[in-house]
Amino acid sequence: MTDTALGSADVPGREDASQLIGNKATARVLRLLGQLADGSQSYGVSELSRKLGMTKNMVHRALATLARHGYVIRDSSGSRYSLGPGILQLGAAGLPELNLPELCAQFMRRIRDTTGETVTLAVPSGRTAVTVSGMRGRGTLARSVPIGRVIPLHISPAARAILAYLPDAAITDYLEQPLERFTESTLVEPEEIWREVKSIRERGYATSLGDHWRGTHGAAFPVLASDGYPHGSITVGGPVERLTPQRLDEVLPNVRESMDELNRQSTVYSSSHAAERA
Amino acid sequence: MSTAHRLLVTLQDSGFAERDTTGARYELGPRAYQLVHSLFQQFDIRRASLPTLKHLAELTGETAVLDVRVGWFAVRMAGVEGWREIHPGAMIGRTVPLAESVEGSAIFARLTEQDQERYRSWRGNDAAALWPTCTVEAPPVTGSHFVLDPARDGRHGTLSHVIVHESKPLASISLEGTGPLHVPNPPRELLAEVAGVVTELDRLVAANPDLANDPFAHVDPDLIQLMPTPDTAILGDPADVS
Repeated sequence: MTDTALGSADVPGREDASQLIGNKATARVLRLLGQLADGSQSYGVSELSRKLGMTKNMVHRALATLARHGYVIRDSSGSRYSLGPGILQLGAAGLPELNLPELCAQFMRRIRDTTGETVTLAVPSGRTAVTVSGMRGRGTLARSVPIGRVIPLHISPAARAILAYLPDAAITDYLEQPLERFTESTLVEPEEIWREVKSIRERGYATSLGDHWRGTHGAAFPVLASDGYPHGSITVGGPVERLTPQRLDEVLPNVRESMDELNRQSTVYSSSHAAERA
Repeated sequence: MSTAHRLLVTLQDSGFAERDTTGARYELGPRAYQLVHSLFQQFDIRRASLPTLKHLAELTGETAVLDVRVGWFAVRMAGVEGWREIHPGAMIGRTVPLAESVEGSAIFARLTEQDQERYRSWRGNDAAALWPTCTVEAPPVTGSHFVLDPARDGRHGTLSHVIVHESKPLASISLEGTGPLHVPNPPRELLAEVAGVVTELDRLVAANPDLANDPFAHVDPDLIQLMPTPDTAILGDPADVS
């Protein structure tokens, strides 16, 4: 069918109707694709109908369109559907390379606007974490954005959020060398650090321990790669008088939502760089 | 609003398309790439190979990549860039007919004659000319063969090892770069170290046959078309969905 057959501005009312039809049908197909990409590897028609709130007829039609182009296939049982090899065409020229600061920017802005506090991005570099970008909090008094600051991996929430998501063998290697102490609260004993690592992995974020800068409080979340390695970490932090532990608890759900969305995108990319062996 | 524009707006709203930095053109959006990533996750060899790729990239400084056979194509599903100042990008997602890359040619060479003939019929060329490569064997690891296309003329070299399961080629692990491995006679000691690393992955696959799963094993390879054709439309004809 051509555009003219579907509807045109020459036929009053037809364009609105065809626009609605085109958008809704396309949106249904895209929702179905999105469902196939999430969670289980294959779905039956009834299951898709329930999950997406579509009639079985709608699901069948959308699946038929996708199957015709290889984007969906039936599995070997013949009764369930999963993503098809045609999907690979979308990445055939090579997936875009990760630009971490660019990817993180909109989420950092959202977190800054929600909390009013400074948000920074740090990446791992050997035995350290380096701050590479940031957005200053609103208000005259806010935590600074120390671009280029290098900190050992066991010090500060930003660094510990990276350390905790390294493989255990890498953490063991890190702890084999003597660790620097910044304040009397800095954790330097391997057992203490392993406990903190476990805690971070369970909670999903690291918090301040007074082990680096005094007077500030905050939380740092990992930005993860497809293989579970950390691309880096994002920290939200501010003056401890304003960003109290209670205030942090209040804003955490919003921050976590932004980080979950960011990690859905960041885990498309693997941690693609190897460190030179010493 | 034209049909194309309406479709693009819907794709954009769903994250499957986005405007580029000029704002004047559309390109695939993050949701589209998430689909590709989701599909990669279905190939267990990908997850299993990641530590090997990291190890190889750290050992050699070169870029280590995994190309998986899907139908008659080699699809790059994982890669770790090396630490050398100059190294190739991982190009994850790159999809090429088997005999048209070094990594794919290494896989092609391990197909049965029958499958090689089928490939030639599918591809429509007689020679199915492979990249000019040579075979190197890494002592003292018996059976550890590599296919090598040395670096030359400003182009990086490729050293590939095929992962086989029940005599069928599953994927190739390759090192790409311009370092000491990518000369016509690579240093034997370094080659032996590399062979030791890939052999561990071979053993892992042999001991865990589930790692060789192919979610498209039940699909005729001739029907898997991963190169866009002029009449390919991602969402088909709007008249088909109503």
